[in-house]
Amino acid sequence: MKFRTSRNSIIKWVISLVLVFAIILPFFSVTGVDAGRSGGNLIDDSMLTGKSFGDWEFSKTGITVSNGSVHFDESYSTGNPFLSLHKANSSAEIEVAIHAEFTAKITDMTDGQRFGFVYGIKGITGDVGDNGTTFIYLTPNGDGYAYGISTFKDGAEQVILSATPFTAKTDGNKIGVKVYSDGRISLALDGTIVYFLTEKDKTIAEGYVAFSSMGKKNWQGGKIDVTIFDITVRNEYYAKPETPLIAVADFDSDDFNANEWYLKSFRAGGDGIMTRGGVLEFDNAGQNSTFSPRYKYSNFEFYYDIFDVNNQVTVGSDGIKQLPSYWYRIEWGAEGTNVEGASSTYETAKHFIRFDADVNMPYKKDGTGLLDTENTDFGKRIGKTKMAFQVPGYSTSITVPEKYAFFNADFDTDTVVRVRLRLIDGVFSVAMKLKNEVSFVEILRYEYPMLIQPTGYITLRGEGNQNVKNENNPHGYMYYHRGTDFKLDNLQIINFDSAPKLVSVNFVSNRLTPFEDYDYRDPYTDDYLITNTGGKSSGN
Amino acid sequence: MKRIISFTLALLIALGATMLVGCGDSGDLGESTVYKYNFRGYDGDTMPIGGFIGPAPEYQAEGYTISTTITDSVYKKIADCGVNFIIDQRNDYFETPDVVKQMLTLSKNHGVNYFVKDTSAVNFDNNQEYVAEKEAFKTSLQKLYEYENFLGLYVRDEPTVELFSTVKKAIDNIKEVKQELGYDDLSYYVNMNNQYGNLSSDKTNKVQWQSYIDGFGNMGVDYYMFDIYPVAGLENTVGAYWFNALGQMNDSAKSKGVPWLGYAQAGGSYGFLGNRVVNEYELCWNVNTMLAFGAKGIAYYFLCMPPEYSLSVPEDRINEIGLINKYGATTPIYYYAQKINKNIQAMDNILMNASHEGVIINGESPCLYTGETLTSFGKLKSVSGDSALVGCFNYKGQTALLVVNNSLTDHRGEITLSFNGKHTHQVIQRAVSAEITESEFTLHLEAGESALILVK
Repeated sequence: MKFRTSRNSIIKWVISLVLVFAIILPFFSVTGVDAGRSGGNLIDDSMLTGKSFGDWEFSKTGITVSNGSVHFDESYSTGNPFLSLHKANSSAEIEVAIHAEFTAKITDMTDGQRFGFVYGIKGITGDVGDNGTTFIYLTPNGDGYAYGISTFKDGAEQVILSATPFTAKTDGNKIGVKVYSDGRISLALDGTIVYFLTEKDKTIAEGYVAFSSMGKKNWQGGKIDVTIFDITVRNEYYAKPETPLIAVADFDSDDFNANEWYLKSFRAGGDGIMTRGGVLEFDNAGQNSTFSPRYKYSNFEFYYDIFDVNNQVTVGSDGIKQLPSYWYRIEWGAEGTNVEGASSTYETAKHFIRFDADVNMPYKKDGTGLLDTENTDFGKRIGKTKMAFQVPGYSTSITVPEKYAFFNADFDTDTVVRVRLRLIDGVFSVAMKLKNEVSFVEILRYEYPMLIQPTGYITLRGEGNQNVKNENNPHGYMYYHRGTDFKLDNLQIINFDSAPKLVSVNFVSNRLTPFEDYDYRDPYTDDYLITNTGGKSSGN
Repeated sequence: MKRIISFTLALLIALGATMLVGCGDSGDLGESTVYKYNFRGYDGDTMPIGGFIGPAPEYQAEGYTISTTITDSVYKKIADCGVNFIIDQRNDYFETPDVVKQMLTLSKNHGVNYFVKDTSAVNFDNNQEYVAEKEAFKTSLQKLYEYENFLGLYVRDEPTVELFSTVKKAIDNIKEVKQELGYDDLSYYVNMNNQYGNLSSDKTNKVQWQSYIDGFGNMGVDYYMFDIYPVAGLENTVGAYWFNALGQMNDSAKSKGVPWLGYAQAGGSYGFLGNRVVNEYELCWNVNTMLAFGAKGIAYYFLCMPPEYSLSVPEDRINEIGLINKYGATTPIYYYAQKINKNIQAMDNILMNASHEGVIINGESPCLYTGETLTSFGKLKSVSGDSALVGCFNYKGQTALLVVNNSLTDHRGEITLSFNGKHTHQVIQRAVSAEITESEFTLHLEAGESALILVK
């Protein structure tokens, strides 16, 4: 068969192709649909061991927690949910918001009682049956048991799955629940999917989750004796904090946009953090001095230049030794209601890298335990530049390649190293290059478990002398000065969320517009001075 | 013979009468003792007019940068206001030597002097009680003494009784080093608390204020200084305790043989005394009543807005705290103080060389005074007319009176002074000096304003 194509046919074919791609392409982002999940485990074994159960809200009457299991015994009564204090979120980008798996071993349950997993609770004082909650339950059914699903809306129970018999095993049945971000549910029993709710928006994924019960109170004869174990409830969502698309601080006018960046400065023998000379200067900045983007980020790239690092011991104009720069670290995913709070405490950040290099701190040989600050080698850089990396459950330390090792004693102070931090789609990396190089060299790469990454503030934090009173100097300081001592420039942070939520930010200089002198108008007059009154009263 | 005897007798009687009249009615006050400061660079005739908290180096507040106010122009403003010394509690020579050096250098150009902190010698910050051995004081003072406008070390503000022994140790070290190095004109800063402050760190220890003052004096101080702020509540109302506090302070200082200074309430807003900001008349009255009760110096609290206030004070209220705001610009209070200081500068050679002998209170008063008052003094026979507080001084045997309109609302108070004869008076009011020769005349004073009369 011969195919003849006319010119018109070719045009139509091209137009169709363009249309197809125009429809398809938006569904494929550069970063991928599964970019940067946030969330984590709402419930797992680690939260069910030991003696403290700070992750939970419950009354101990009838509930015993130990070694990863929770026993609801015969004294347990309805109205006492075992509620996780970690709230579940959901977002359209992540299909399954909640994965719950647990094994339920039923010892006893009186007729009419229901026990199971509930989600969508609004507050930590809530329970199954509240508006918006959904209950996946087990209940007696004749001589055996059944499972069912109900949701509650406007005070009324809506049956999603009516009680369906199953065989309860003596060592327990494995229950699997998937709650979709669009409200659908799938239920699996002992590894087999037994139900799938296809109707969207029938249930609400967001909210607190719990193990709870319905039916008669214990004193009314309602009995539940159930043990659950091998519990994992995981929540995933795509966090999209609102941020500027790109925030840049180049300090060219010795200032920065205070609507995009936050600075807090302390001193440790120098001026602290200053914007001067067109750069951000850490001039022996003190402990907890920080420079941070003002917004929370999920997926991002963060860049900065670092140079002119002080790696030598100098003597200040006060005769006190000034030691090489202290370490600094960059944190991400730091919690807090605002950047001021997040950067004010050391402990809010659980994800960070820290650059450091050892200095010589010899002690006196007289057995006093005092630092030998008079030693000619006191404070000298003796170590190589290292980068520590720490996230919950994992840490490591690497030696920075010589070429970029800005804390090395012999590193040229004019050499500018550009550093890039990247956190996208659950993968974190650190890369470096020299200013005049084209490509970055990656020095660290880390994949978050299940690609679940933190969302929060990013802080560049310096360390400096602490006001510690000790034998070395009883009036409160070490008898030397040491702070973070280097220059930064060209900081940049880019939001890499898929279909990001962006805000438009005006420029407000961190240097506030100063007031003019007050325009004072003197209310006094001269007419009442004695030179004018002659000492006479007004009655004369 | 009879005529000679009669004439002689008459002459003797007349001479005796003259002598009697001269001694009894001349108003000659005789000699007096005046207590002087030993402040470096002060000539004894200049009243110290100070300010608490000086200009600050650049700092960050809530992520915003406040530029340095340690500049030539700010010190010029301070000097133009009439402030001649600063008590700097914030900048530490040990921590930030370059900042302190810059402070001293720039301020010197405008005749402004400094009490400076150096925690390598003495440190009460953050609940510490550190006083170094003498050698550390020596090192510190030798470095700082090079600056001609360095008045001395900042030791302690408002110590509790428990700290007296430690503060004394610091003072003793300073005195020893002074002697050793020949720094005779060096002083130090200490200031006592008022009767409503924390006189003891033990809340169950009810320390009487007089006992506190005596303990303070037993530290061997060269002057007294204290702070209490009477302007509170509604506008034009003041604390009832004010005159009694001043009287007690003056009596205590006199019995100790030292001069005293008091703080003037130039701060306000944001939690300080219930957000109370002084108006011009209140500040005027605040300062003038201290002078009338014998103060030999004053200091404004605050001089410059402290950096930490930047974190809590909104921009539209920064002109309510001190004479200079955080940007180094003048506030309304600056101008109130400038007028007051100008008047002080016109009077101070008299006040600084006069001994305080008592007060006269005429008419109503915004606050009580339960101490002794006079009804006349020297050549002054009586005071009449509107409310007045008259400080009575012996100036080298002459009658000197500091007359204050003792009202916060009477804007043209008329106070009449009646003397024991027709005298020539020098009257200094609003820095304008005039002479009047009368046996009685009336002063017209703004609310809180003062005038100095020297009866020649």
